[in-house]
Amino acid sequence: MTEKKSKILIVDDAIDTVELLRKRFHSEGYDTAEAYDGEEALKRVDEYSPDLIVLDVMMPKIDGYEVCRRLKTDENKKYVPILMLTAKGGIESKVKGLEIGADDYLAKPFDYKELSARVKSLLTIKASREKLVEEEKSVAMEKMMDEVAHEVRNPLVSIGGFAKRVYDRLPENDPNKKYLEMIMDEVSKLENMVKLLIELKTMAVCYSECADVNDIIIEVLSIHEEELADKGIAVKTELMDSPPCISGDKEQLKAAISNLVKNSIEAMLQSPKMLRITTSAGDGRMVIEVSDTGKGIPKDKLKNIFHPFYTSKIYGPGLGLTFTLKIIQQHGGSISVESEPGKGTMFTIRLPIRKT
Amino acid sequence: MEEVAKSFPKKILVVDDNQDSRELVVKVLKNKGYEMIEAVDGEEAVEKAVAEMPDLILLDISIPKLNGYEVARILKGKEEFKGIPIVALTAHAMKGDRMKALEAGCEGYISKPINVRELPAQVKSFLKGRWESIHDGEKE
Repeated sequence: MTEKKSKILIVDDAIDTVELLRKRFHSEGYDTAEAYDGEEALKRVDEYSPDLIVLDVMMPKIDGYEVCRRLKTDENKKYVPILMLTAKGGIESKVKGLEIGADDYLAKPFDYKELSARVKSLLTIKASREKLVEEEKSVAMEKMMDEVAHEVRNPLVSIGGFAKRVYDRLPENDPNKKYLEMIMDEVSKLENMVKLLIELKTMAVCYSECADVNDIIIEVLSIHEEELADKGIAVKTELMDSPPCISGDKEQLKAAISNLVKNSIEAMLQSPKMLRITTSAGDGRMVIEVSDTGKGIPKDKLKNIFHPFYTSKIYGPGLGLTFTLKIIQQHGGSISVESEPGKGTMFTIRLPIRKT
Repeated sequence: MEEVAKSFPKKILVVDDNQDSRELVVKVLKNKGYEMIEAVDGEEAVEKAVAEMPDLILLDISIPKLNGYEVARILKGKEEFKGIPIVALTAHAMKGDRMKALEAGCEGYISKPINVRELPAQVKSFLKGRWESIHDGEKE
């Protein structure tokens, strides 16, 4: 995937300033949108959701201070950095701008190089803040998952156990037996999910051996052999001759790749059905590609697929890819995904080659 | 119809001792513009492969004289066959066969009974290197 362009909203009633900034920003690879008064600016923020706003103070209808004040009191927009521009260079107006929450201040006439540097620094701060929030979120999520998993496990055991006891005591042809079977089935699904969650939390590579990726792939294919044949999926492998060793836990790696294969199988509902797995080496890493000709993943969903519980399936806890990601990361590797809706999905795993 | 196949027909060797299933494959793929060669047992397969140098080999596993694994091993032992994909055709019920085929050097497998609707796209994908390629020109 290509790096996303940062989006800058330029707000100024002086058309020539807007034009100048637009051209300069474009030449630096930013994407821009423009607004010529305060009211329009507020509207554009909603539509465009910029990463940064360059905001003139002196404008008709609503002035820059007011725009800034409104944005900074809006929970959803207060973290969009605002760089105020104005002809007033006095301390007082600077202080006023900063007091109502502007992130930076530049007096007109400004030097473009200075503006560019400030824009860059504001965008960097925003990006690192977002990363931090993302990390906090995932830590909180993990903690919550962990607690839920432990809280849920005991009641589940009771529900399942008592259902079984009742089931066993009912006569053979009792009509209620099928309901109890359903309860036991669902309980065991939940139990598996909880088990997986706990494993996910406590997983660590405790065992490290020299593993041959080709062997791992053939074993994974053999796990899914029957299902692949049942669904009429052809399998294509391009495995490199005598691949170098990677170091890790073979069983875990098998599980990681197996999850990808499982996803591929489930995504391929229509012809053509091809699963392709390749191995190659480069840059000190083993590269494993798993691709399918399935329904693909829409672009806006791609970034979520490794999140716990994200799923497009009707049933299933959606932990598979999270599990895979965690295993690969624990092995010092990385995983990336490309997908085109209607055409297919390709996962690429990179794992460090074992140093001899 | 396949543009590529029309202008420059690719050669495919089908190895199967069962006449019906061999003819089915030949008919479907000929229809798509491929040049088809046939063999009925392992020995003939090796002979024809060496003589004709096909672009792809569809190889049934349970065939007389030499079985499919042996054929794959013999051919993959030759330098000139390293780049030619050999695809095993394996009976659905035969668990483990497919893995043995991969171990013997086959690039992949198609499970029998062959799905006629799927076969051309699958063959095309085996002929080309990348997964995207199987969609080129397939949309009628």
